[in-house]
Amino acid sequence: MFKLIRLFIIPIVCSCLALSAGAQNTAAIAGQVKSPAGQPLSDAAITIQGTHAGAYTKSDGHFRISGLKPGKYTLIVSMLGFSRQELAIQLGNAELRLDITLTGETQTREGVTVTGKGKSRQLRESGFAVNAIDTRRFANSSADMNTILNRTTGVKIRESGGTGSDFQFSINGLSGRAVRYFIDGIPLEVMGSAMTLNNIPVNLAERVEIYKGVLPVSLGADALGGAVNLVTNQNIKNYLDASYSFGSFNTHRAAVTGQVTGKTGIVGRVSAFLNYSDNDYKMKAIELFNDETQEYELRDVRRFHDQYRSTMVQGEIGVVQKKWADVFFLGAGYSNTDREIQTGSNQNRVYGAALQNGDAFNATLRYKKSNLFTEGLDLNIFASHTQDKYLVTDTTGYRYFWDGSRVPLNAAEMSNVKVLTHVNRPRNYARANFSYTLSPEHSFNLNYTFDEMSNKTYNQLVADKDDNPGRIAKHIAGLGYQQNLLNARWTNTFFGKFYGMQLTQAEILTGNGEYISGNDTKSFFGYGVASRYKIMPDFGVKASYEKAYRLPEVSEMFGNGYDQIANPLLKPESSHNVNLGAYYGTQRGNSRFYAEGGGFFRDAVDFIFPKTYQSNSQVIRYENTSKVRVTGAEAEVQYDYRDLFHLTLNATYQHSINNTKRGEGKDETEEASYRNKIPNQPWLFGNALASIGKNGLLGKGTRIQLNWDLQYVHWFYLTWEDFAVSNEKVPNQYIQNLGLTYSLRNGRYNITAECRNLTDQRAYDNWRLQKPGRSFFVKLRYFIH
Amino acid sequence: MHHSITKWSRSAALVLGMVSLGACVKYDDKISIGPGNGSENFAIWIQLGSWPNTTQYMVGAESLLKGAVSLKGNGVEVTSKADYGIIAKDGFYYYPSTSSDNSKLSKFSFKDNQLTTVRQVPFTYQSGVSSYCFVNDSTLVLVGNNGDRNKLLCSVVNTNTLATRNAALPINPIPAGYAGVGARSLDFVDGKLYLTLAYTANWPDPAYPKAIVAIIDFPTLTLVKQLEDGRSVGAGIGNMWMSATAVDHKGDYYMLAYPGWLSKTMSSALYRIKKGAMAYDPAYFVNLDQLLGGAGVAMYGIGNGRALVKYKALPDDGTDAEHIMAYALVDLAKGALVRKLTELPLDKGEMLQTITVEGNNAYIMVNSKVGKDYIWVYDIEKDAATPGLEIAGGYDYLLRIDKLK
Repeated sequence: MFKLIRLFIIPIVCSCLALSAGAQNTAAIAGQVKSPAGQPLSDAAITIQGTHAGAYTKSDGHFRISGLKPGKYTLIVSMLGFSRQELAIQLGNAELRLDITLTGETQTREGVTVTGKGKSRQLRESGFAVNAIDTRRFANSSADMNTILNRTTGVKIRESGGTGSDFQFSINGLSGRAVRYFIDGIPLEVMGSAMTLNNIPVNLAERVEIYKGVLPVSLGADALGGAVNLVTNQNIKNYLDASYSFGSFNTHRAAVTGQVTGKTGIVGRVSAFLNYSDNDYKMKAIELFNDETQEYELRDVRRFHDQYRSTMVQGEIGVVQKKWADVFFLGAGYSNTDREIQTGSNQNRVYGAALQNGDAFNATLRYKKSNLFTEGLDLNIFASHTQDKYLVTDTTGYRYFWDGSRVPLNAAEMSNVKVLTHVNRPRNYARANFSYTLSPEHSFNLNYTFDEMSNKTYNQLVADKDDNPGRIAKHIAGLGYQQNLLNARWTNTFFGKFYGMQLTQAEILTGNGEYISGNDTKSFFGYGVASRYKIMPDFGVKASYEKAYRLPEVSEMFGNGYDQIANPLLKPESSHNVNLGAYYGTQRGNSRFYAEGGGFFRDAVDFIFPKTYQSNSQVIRYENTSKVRVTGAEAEVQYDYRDLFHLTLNATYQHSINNTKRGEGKDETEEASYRNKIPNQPWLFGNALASIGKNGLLGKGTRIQLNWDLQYVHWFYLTWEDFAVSNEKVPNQYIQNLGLTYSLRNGRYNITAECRNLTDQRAYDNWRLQKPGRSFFVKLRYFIH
Repeated sequence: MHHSITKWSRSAALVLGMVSLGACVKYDDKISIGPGNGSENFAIWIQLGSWPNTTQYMVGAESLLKGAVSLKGNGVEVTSKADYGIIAKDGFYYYPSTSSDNSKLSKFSFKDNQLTTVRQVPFTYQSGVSSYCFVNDSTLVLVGNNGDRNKLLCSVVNTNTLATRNAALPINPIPAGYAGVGARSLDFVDGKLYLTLAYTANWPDPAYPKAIVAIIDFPTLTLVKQLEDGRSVGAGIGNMWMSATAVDHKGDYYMLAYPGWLSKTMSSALYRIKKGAMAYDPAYFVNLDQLLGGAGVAMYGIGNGRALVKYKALPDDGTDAEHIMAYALVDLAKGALVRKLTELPLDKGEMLQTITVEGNNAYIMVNSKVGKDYIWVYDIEKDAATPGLEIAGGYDYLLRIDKLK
């Protein structure tokens, strides 16, 4: 099948080029849309009545529509919060230029339901399978990014506890290292390992894009299952968004993001956050030994070693809209995490002293220039250096129990051997992105990323440095070609990607116990296509495909030189990812409706996992162990009535099966679990979000809004479903959250009261790792722009 | 002659296999030894799934002589409760949580495909138990490591109350240049504990090159004598997972030394300590590599001075994936090979307890590269092995079999 796809890509490209050539027309219209204050407006919808032609304004407010026959038309300009404008125009052979100022700005404050056909909606209507979430809608919530993203289709985030806990992010059934994280197209790791989606406040990003299985070349990474891209506020306007929330379990979150432009034209930007929580929530029905009765009994106890604190500050200073640069910024940042570790992989393993502390510094450079050398050629450069390090402290000589008691034990907690493990990961990263718009119908994107990281790990109790650090350098280049055919009704993006990796390590340990030097270079090619066809202006179908890779880490390939041995034959994880989808949106009077849905298919092979080597439980080797096939479907509907009422409903079904046909070393018999559903994975889940709000109820410029959401996870088996007499199930979960926001002065001052897990359900993302019960939070937010 | 026997035995195996195939179909409904009849005499431990989605199951079997057993709708998943490093005796299991490390000592019963907790107590004295023996019906001795793996610790357990008496074992200090010590097999012989052990370095550096038995007085737990011999090293895997010692009808103690990664040059070997002697029998040393053509890794006494020895019939690539293990009948007293059980297919490389002995039968669970997997029945008197219970379904790892009653 995939060979067929490969075979067909080239002919399709050729035929489409021919099609587009035949579709050339002479009439065109271009211009800029501005607010009454003269601010360029992005994402305003421009349509030509009676045709399928249309466009959205770019971030600088510009738009261009071509491919029209000369004649008289009515141009319609609309954008949420502004009065719709209809303009009679006459097109001749020359391009018509129009500057349009929208009027009648109404309630476009942040924090209210924004349902305009903004950038998020545009992304959803691209050929890629992407969830685009306008996080401004949630800006008054005390939630972190994970909480917001977990409410979207195809995404399931499984946290191991409360604030700051470890988590596993799954996109359409693929998780772990298969998912990559970005901020403005840059890997999140360049900010340091302290920056994760479970501690970034929702206010720091304007939008989040979740690419499922197929990634545009501009996100240069070996993402097997997909990627999450946080998009920060890129407007040139000055603004300040400051918030503070506090609540149960002594949880505090503060976040500031803002921009200021000096009189000299120098722009300063800063983003910062602080998270703190004791995470001392109640663990229900925990087994504890009663010394009097000499029996185990079930008791409710509080977590006692789960304190979490993370801080981050990132600043940038530079200039915009200069002759030599649209954007030039130099930046620096620092992040820090301190974490007590309460449990192991299940709550039977209780820790009372283990710690993880990390901090990271980074320095960044950002440069952007449009129309470089020639019109339509844009260059975007980013470079950074990161010093990222963390320390794992596991030196106690005690075994702890859930009631906080402990007994002496001549061993560490997390492993037998006591460790003060230092992990230092200096990283250099550079990205250059060229985009070239040859014409409205044809554009190209060339992206190259260089990502180099060393891994220096040592146990301070036995060494003072890593004598054998590993180094990996990844070169990822992608070339994409996008064509907009039939007046942009049909959009195709074809792309190819090159993945190159260089691995070096002074000494690696081979399977027979010999030391050799490790040096390897490997390269792989990926490719794909994303296509969308608008059957009607607001109804489209789309499809995308990618042969995707996840390259091995240096430690997976070369081990660590003492208890992880090398496996030079390790292959990258790879997958054929296919998405099919459709969307439909309509507006009638004050009601807006949007629906999208689709199916997905993942055929992933060569998953890399550590395995015990030579029956020696202390020595492991990474191997390509298994194959997984995922098929699924997801759908979401949204309804808005003005800014009064909003409703989102979505559901995801995914069927992940073990596709490993032959067991290890088996030549004939199929493995018993072949084609069985992968255990311990949610396979049916959905969300409902509703909000109702009213402006001016408590005075001019005020708004009061009630938000409710429900997360549903259908029961799933902990183990293989066809086997054993009765299987343990993780039961159905219904988690409800409720929030009430009161805003004054058109959203400048906001106060929110929230209750999470309203019905105090016992919540699990992972069985035997309880999550918090009912909790309360208050958030104060000041926003000016 | 030998050729014709082999041919005959292959034909017999084929016929039996076909019969079993019929039996598989015929017994398909019967193989679920479901709750209610309590008829299981044996428990089979099986691992299902491909990495990392592996789970372990126990399934009961009334007989290992015939029929088929499958995990489809049968057995119980035990991954989070216990693992195959476990002690079976008289229908009960004793589990010092060596792998899951949940700091408990548990006593389970296994009946009607349910592993039921009889009693549990906190158990934190040892961080990894590797060796055990029963001194009497109600006294279990557990030996293992401290967290730093540089001491051997001992817990004497009352099997009714699970009350323990703990003490560090006074073995000889770790020789200079070596990092740790590991216990392997523990036996209660003639009123004393015989503990095989090895002083280890950090992998892959070789271990202290001696085959060692510590003889420890019970119940005082004082060291009587520690024996060393420089011709081999190691002592199999800990007997929580595999047996590597046997005491014959005369009370003589036999110990299999298996170097594995502990030495790149030494061979596996058999040693003997005659009843009452506090020294290796100087007249007895059997180079098992030479005797069998591959390293011996485990040994199960089957009476009459004989033992079944599990050995590596093909080179080991270290992955456990290949089918390299074979079984041989060895006359312990003579130190001689009686015969190799060539009628059995090569077994996968698991270093686990795949043999159990009941009366005149030794049951050998073989994970075959091709064809079906069977628990082979070795008739000790007739010296003949035939396929018994089929383990139907295609499982990567066949972990252990235990006699329950």
